[in-house]
Amino acid sequence: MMGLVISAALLGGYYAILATGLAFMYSVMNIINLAHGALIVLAAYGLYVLGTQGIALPVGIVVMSVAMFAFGMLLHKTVLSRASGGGELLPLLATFGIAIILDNLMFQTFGADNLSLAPFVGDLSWASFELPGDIFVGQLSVYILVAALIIIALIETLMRRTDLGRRIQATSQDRATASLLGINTGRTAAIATGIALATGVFAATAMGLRSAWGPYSGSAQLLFAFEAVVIGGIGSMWRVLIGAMILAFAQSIGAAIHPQGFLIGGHLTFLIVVFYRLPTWRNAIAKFRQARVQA
Amino acid sequence: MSTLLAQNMSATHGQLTAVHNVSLSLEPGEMLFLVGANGAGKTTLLRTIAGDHVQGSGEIMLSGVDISDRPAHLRARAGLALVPEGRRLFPDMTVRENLMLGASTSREGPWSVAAIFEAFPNLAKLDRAMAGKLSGGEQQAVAIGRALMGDPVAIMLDEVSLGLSPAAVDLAYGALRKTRDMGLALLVVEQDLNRAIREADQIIVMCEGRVALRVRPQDTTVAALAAASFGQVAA
Amino acid sequence: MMTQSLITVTRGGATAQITLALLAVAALVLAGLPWLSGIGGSGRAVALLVYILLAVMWNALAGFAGLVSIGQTLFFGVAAYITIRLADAGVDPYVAILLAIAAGALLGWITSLFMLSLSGGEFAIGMWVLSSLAHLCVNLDPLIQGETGTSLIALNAYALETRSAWTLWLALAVTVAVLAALVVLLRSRTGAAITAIRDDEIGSRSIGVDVIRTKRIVFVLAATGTAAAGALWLASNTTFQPRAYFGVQWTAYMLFMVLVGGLGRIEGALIGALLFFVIETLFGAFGAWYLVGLGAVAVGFALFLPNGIWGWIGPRLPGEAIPTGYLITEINKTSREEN
Repeated sequence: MMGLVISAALLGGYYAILATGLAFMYSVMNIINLAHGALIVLAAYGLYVLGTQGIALPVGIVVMSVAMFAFGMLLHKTVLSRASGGGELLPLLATFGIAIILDNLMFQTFGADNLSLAPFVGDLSWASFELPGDIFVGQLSVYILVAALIIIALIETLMRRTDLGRRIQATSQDRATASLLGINTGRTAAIATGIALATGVFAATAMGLRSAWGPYSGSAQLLFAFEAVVIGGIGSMWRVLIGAMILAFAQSIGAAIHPQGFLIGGHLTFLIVVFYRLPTWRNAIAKFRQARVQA
Repeated sequence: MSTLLAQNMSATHGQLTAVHNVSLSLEPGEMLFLVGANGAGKTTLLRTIAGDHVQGSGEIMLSGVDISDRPAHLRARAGLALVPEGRRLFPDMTVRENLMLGASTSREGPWSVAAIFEAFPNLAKLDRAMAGKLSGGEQQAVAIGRALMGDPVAIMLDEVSLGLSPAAVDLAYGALRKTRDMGLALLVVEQDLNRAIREADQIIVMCEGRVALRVRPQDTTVAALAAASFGQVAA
Repeated sequence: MMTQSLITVTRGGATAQITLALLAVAALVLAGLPWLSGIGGSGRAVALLVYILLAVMWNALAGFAGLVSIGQTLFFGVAAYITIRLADAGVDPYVAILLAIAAGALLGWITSLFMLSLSGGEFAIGMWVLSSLAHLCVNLDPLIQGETGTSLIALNAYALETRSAWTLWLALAVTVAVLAALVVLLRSRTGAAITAIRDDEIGSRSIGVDVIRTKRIVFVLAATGTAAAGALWLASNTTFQPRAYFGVQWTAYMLFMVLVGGLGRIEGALIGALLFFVIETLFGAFGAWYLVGLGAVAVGFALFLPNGIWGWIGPRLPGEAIPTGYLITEINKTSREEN
């Protein structure tokens, strides 16, 4: 039982790290980036290629963060800035198209083989901490959870305590006024996209170390990330962490009930949260409570 | 040399011409009042000069530099500020955060958050308050402060006194007079004609997108301004 | 002198008559294919009709109701699965297909009760979650055995030539019926409401358009048409592997057809489906590169030609090809009035 709680919490850490970039882009640019998963897989391939060249993983992470930041700025300038000017549908369509392009380009370049980053980190992927009560906890998942906490704290600090963060917020809330204050809104939005994609490198590291992945792994990662974001709700980045934890617990409980129940548990929880938030349900629940008070 | 020189400004909303060939010029330390009925094109003229309204044309010189082809944020960085209609603060950010955003122009100058709090003493205690929760007068003070934070050479203000108490209007104009004395050029859109005659160095009356009357305050009356606003040429 | 305006309100015109004639000829040729080209031709024709159904339905959803769904495979896959299940229970496969289409409509109605309260990205991915959930549940069925899948063996009761002809005629009848239903819907009062919502959702609410009801009608129609496509695809290919029906590639195809053809126009969806059919026939063998190309072209159209091919052709034609609106012609008549 304790083991299940701990492993679910650690899995939640992984989902949090997956979801951060997606939530960041949604909250500051109102874009649901359907290429989020494919971009994470792209970063994982980058890390893999650097690893095979003998570059240590931490150095690879730095290199890929810079590369993905630059790619994010490019992506904004070429696609997103144009798409977001054309209403609500266009960014969805454009980012979905990009996901298809990336998935299949990666398939063509790297083949269908499932890869892992684990060989680059020695025995870290199976090393574990021993807790009192004969509970063993994988070191890797603990580090992933810690990394998730650090990344979320950094993004929160960036947004609330720095000039750049304020400019990103101003740009996302009222573009015209931000320009009148001298903010280069196009550049600011491009930087925000770059930051979102750079956080994806950490998600890629976590994904690459804990499991085998292939060119089409992106859509599953996107689905987990999105479920975590929606369950947590929009607002602070810490809500993403809560959403990720709930998703991980739901999946773990599902898996405990039925061998195939892992994903089903997550999907059902997502749907329950979405339905609970529907205004009609809320009203119905409020009325029911009122009726009970009066009775 | 004029601080702000705008020549032959025109602007359209779709197929509708909102501003038609308006020119104006402001010296350092000068306050120009733009008056006229609703829909006369005052707001559109200000937004066109600021680069916020894209369907516009005309030549804009700021301290002798041609900024006509620059986008809005580069005009702001050149020293041209606009306090927009409705103030357009960021409601979920604090007063201090709103003010600090004004410094995004990266210009050198006398203004800092401390200097703004000195000019608007009522804001000092609201430092950490959310801008969305302030009264209209306080919000207007933050909006003016935010524009000043960019250390502009010219500042345009749209509907300064709209929705404010008389005391708040007096406070705002007190601060504007100080900035005028510091050498800023001010272009003010105002409904209150008495205020215009009292404060202005020049007055322009707009009617249906055109200049209906261009006059010094000492040479005119409220009645004459009102008549010009509705397209009647004073005798 | 006085100018009098005479306004005539008409629907259709020469362009519409030519289009109708072309569509009728196309339908007749397709119906005659079993005699003209044999089994292979009939199979390709069913593929074309399935693409048309998918494109027209996804376009109705995205272009008319403003709902981008990346989980329409829910209806596509579930309809195929229900067909398999009913046929396994001894129902005639063609009756099973019709029942599966009806089940798709019912599923669409049930789904619409809660999904339509979502909008934008939440709706898009919420549909995907539903599709994934259905996919997982179908995999649990011992008959399907996870991704191994099964076949519509009951079709073997019919001779190969008979069943390929019947499948084609059924596909043709369903496609024509769905297209006709959509045109009738767009020409009705609801059609005017759909156009109002497409142009300005909040504004249309303020003039009394029941947005949810209107969206529900479109959503259920789209669910029905997409379910029909899934059941027909099964009838034509006979094998059922869950991944081949719930896979995200179908969404990619729908996106491509609608964006390239022209979002928000039936003609656009038809052109997109036809173009996709040709491209798939020519380049489908290139595998992943082919999908890269599809994605790139779709993104290119989304960014640079958001109204698609029909957005370019349509305005250059005299009148609408598939008329859903009214043509208002103004004739200025100058006459001399005597006092």
